[in-house]
Amino acid sequence: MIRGLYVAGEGMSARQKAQEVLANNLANLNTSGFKADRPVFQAVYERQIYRWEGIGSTPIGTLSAGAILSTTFTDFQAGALQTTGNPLDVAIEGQGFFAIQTPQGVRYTRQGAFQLNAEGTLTTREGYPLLNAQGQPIRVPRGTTPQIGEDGTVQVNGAPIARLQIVQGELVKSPDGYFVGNPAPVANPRLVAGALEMSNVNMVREMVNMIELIRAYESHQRVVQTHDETLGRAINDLARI
Amino acid sequence: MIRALHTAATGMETQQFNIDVISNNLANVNTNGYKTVRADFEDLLYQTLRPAGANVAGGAQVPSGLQVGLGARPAATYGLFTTGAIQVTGNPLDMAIEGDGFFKVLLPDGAVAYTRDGGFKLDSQGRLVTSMGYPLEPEIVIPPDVEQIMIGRDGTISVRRGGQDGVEEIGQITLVRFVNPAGLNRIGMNLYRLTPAAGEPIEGAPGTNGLGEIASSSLEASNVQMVDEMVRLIMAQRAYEVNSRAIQTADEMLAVAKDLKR
Repeated sequence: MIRGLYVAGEGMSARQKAQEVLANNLANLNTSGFKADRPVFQAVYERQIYRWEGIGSTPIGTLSAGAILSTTFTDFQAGALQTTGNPLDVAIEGQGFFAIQTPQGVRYTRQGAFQLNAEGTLTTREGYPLLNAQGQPIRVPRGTTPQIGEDGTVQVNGAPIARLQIVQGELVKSPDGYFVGNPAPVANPRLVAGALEMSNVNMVREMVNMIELIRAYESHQRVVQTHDETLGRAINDLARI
Repeated sequence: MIRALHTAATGMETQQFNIDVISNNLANVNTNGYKTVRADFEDLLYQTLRPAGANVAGGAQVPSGLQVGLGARPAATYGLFTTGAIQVTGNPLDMAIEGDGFFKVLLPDGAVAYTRDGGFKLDSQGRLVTSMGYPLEPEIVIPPDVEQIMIGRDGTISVRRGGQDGVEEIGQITLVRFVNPAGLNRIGMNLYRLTPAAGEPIEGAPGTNGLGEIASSSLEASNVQMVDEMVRLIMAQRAYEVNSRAIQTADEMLAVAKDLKR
């Protein structure tokens, strides 16, 4: 009986963590360049169950001890494009990430909302410089506005001054909200200037997944209640005189 | 029950896509030469629980199998290439194609693009170019001393120079048509690019070979029919609503199942 309690409890805990993942996705419904996370459940602790037969035991099968949230994987599907008209907003069509320099090292992002800082360097909204194909920040002359072409070239007054670094590879989310990994350059990137990539969170999907989670959670709760009742009967009523 | 949740979710996503397509049509209701797009849908794969025609005990054959579908998804966005309303503008460089065909323009990288938007302008060299500056192909150059430009229905361009009485022909518009214009790739800026699905380009002078004729000093309006789009919008919205009902019902039934043990 106790085993069932823990299995149900574990299930509820896993669903709760999955709910947190969903809540984070929904919170980022409007975050440009955000990639949704999907919770992955895994059945665990498969144990052999034996039947005690006096002088030995016979295996009668396996019993899983429930499910845990084993990992979350990031869904890298492209989000919809939103035209903003701002020449420093860039979206990547197809695969690829921008490279930026943060104090913790090189990071990657799909969020192309760039601006010029006081020295004329192209940076993200937080001030981290955007890197060119050689891994260096891109600086434009004071007072000019760069134009970002479809293939990633940055032009000032018609003359190309740099090429954006667009990379693709196995990337994972890092705690600072960007992606980290060891990607390789993309051969023919396709960029769209004047547009931003929206979050790829699909509200309908998240709501449906949430419905499933809630119902599963409630079913586990019923299981816990049933175990509790049965235990109560065993403890309180069986030996009633 | 869990199946219905995801099936209805695909239904809602499909209608979201439908609204995306319709709203693009509505946004382009005043775009010259725009061709309206219709989203077509298809059903998703089916889970076969018992195949039709399977033999059962006793030698009988199952007449109708047991299959449950898993939803819907967009199958195609189909462009409708009916001619839009021709509006007389009085601008001698404006052209509208009455019938089939596209103007051919040259992109900066040398590739060919096609357009129905005949709102051509003159660039600094006197070439006929689109609003984005892409020149007509074959190139038409209007000399600077021209006082009057006349474009015939067969695409011949005649000019009358300043101080002279006679007209001289300085060029010829060629049009291109396709077996399947809906197979062209839209790249924005009212331009289309060739894909294998469109078929071989059929080129010629306006009025020949199935190509339409040029209506000069006119522009072709967008062929978006607002009434049709509003009706489709209403249908998409109701379909979205009714799919959300399916999700809610599936949810309620799950709650009932859970409440079997109170």
